Amino acid sequence: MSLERSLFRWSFWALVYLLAAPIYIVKWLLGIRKLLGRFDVVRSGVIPCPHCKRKNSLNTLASCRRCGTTEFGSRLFCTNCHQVMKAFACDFCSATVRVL
Amino acid sequence: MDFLNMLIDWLFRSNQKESYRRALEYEAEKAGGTLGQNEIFARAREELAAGDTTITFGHLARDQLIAVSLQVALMSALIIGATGSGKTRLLLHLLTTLLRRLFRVSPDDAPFDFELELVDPKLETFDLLGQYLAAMWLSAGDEARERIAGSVRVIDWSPDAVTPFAPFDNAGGDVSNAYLAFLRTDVAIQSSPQAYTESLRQARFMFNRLLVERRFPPNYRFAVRLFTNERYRRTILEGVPDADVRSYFEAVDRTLPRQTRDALLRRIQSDMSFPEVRLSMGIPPAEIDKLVRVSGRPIVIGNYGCSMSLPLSMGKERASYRIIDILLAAPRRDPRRRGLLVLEESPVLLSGSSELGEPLMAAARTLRSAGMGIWFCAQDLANALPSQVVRTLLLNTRWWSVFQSREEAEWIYPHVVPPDDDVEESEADRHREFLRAVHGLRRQHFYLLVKGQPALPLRAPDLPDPEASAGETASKLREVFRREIASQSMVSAKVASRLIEEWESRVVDQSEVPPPTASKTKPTVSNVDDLLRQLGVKKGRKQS
Repeated sequence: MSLERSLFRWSFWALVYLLAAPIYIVKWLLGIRKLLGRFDVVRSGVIPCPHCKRKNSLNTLASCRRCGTTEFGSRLFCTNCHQVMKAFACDFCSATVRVL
Repeated sequence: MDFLNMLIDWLFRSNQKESYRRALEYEAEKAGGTLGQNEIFARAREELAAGDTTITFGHLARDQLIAVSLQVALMSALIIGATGSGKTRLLLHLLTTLLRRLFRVSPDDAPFDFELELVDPKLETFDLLGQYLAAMWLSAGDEARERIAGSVRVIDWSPDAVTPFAPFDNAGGDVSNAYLAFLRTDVAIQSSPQAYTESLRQARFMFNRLLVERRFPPNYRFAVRLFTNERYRRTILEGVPDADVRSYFEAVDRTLPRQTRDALLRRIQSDMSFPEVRLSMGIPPAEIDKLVRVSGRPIVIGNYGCSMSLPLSMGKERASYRIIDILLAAPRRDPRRRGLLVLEESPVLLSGSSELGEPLMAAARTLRSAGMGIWFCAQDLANALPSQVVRTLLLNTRWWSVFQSREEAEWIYPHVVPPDDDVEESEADRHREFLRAVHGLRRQHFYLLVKGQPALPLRAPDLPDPEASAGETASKLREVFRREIASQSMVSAKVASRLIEEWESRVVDQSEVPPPTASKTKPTVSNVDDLLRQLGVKKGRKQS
């Protein structure tokens, strides 16, 4: 493979990344905005079930689904394996409550 | 790991300490650890009183009144405890409070409309409630007095006056004639101390069917003539629409052994030989309609106690008849008007009577939809009834008040909130201490358990004696009750005796058989004779 051809290929990919960068930045910004919005719910510590409307606490004595660590803290995050759960089953009606 | 995941990880880590603290608090609260006894009682007090109208059950140690919403209070319940522990007083407090509201005795009483049926096989509650009603009547104005006298129906029997009662009258048509006769037969047999063979039972059932078909009262002389005089029997059977009854009695000389017939007559004679029973049940149903107004009286208080003057089986039989009538009519009642059936000494009624026990157990499960509750009052409930009956009662009652008792204390122990300074005591010690405390509860003190709430240690409200509240003696109050209230639904023994004699002379001696009254139940057609009879075509019958 000639140097020119290799340079051309790298330039092409650099251009693609450069052109895609604003799209990714916008995507990240939107993601961060959405995440921070959702994280307010995590900070409040309570979320109502969309089905039965009863309030579920997000901070409980919970076990990680992946590594099995049981600890007092957020039921959505494991401090041992860093597993993040985006949803959990309502304590009252067992319907899925999506948080993140 | 992408950027967003890193951010999530960082956010959770930054919030970790707060999450830990909150999780600890939440779990402690869930276990009830952070709330003290006072807070738990205060919350229960608030939740129990949620509703438009409430009724006071008693007060906690710090004079905090515990009132329960009437919606809950009038559901099925258990009032249990030893003799003299105060359960009758609590019952009377609740009933008199409700009655004052129904009769609107004073302007302060919040009006409340309901129906009450008291079944008392021991006389005491009936007698005391009668005195309280008399005291209410004396203290009320003219309008309230009329309301009291017009609303209360008294079921009682004494040698001087009786409440007429027609056990074989199916004018209401709630059930078929055959089923009414079946229920009456079964109750009579189960209440009776005498033994019944299969053929004797069948003979009694068919005799009761005939009484229902003809709307006749039970009468020994009628029974003797019916079974011994074939010609008279044919006259009686004329116009009986039920072909089964006709064919049974037409062939009764061949199919019923003489010994069985005599045994049946002996039992009828034995039942009807007591004047109170004969006078109350012997009046023809058609005459009862003219004598007293039975319908439109929402309060029915019944004395089924025999107080040494009658065999206990008589009272039990009559109480069972009455309860069955209430249960049969209950599904057709207006559920918007709350109804309450109070069974004093319920084990006396429930033990050994499957014909009453089964409908009552079914009623405890289903009567809620008819707006009706049953209060079962009892002592030693855990041992007095079969375990499956006790279990049904425990499952199907909304609240329990447990006075001084033994085994029943175990039922409420899981719902008891220990005192705040009791945390160091072991579970076994606490359990033992609680049982000991319930065995020795003082009079008027009880635990109230409304399901879904903790058991509340209460002291029932002080209920002044009727004499004290009315300023009259007990005998004077009894006289007022008999004269002003009971007399509306009772007839004197003289009148009852005269009516029975007239009926006997007309129907038994002179064979003047009144035409059978039209029953609301559909007449059966099982052969051509029935069809012709219903079409009004008379068929010639040779009289023997």
